[in-house]
Amino acid sequence: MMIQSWSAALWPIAVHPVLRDEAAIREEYAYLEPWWIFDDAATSAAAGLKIEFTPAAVVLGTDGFIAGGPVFGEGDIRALVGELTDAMAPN
Amino acid sequence: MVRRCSPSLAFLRDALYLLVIIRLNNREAGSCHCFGSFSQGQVTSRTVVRNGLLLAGAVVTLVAAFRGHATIGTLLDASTGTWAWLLATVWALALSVTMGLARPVSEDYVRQPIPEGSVILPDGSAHTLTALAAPQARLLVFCRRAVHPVAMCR
Repeated sequence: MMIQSWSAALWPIAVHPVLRDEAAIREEYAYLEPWWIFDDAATSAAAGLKIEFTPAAVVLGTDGFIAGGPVFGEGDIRALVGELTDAMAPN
Repeated sequence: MVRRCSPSLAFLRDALYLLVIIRLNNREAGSCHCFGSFSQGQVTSRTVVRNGLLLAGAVVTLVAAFRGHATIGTLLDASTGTWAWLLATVWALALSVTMGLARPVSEDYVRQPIPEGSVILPDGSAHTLTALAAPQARLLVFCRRAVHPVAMCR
């Protein structure tokens, strides 16, 4: 499972799938429960980050700045994760 | 004898390492391999600084050994206050390393402030994106915004 393997590879960066908070989606993605968070319908994170279609990914830094992305599409997300994995690798 | 010999050897090794690293850093690009397969990055000024710090540690240990203080014995005899300072230092170093890992993934990447917007955690609490990322860097993968499911989140 991609999210699970990314979580292990990218530590200490936490990996979260972001979903819409709907009962049907919770059921559909139940296997992501240990990691999932939900977009706030009222003050949407996706809207703030200009995520207009999925899949998309963004890296939030601890210093209040975006540290990577947003990127869209499976290929670009995999490339971003690859860059992060390289950056996390010990020198 | 052993108490003095070990730190002396460590000091000599680190001093020699430092000379080699300085020479490599000045003359040519090269890989350090200082910690075997865990250290395959290029030798840079940061490598020199790191080895300088290692050498300083060896000097401190060496001086303590010649004064008759073994490192482990000194630590075991240390007061609660000393241990508290040591733990605080380790915590600060760990925090620095963690924050350093949140650097941009590319040198050309122009970083933007995290915009407004919030997410809801499984316990129902809402958090702004900035608050979410404050204690730990986060990779958010938006899996489902459209009607159709996203294959890569399966």
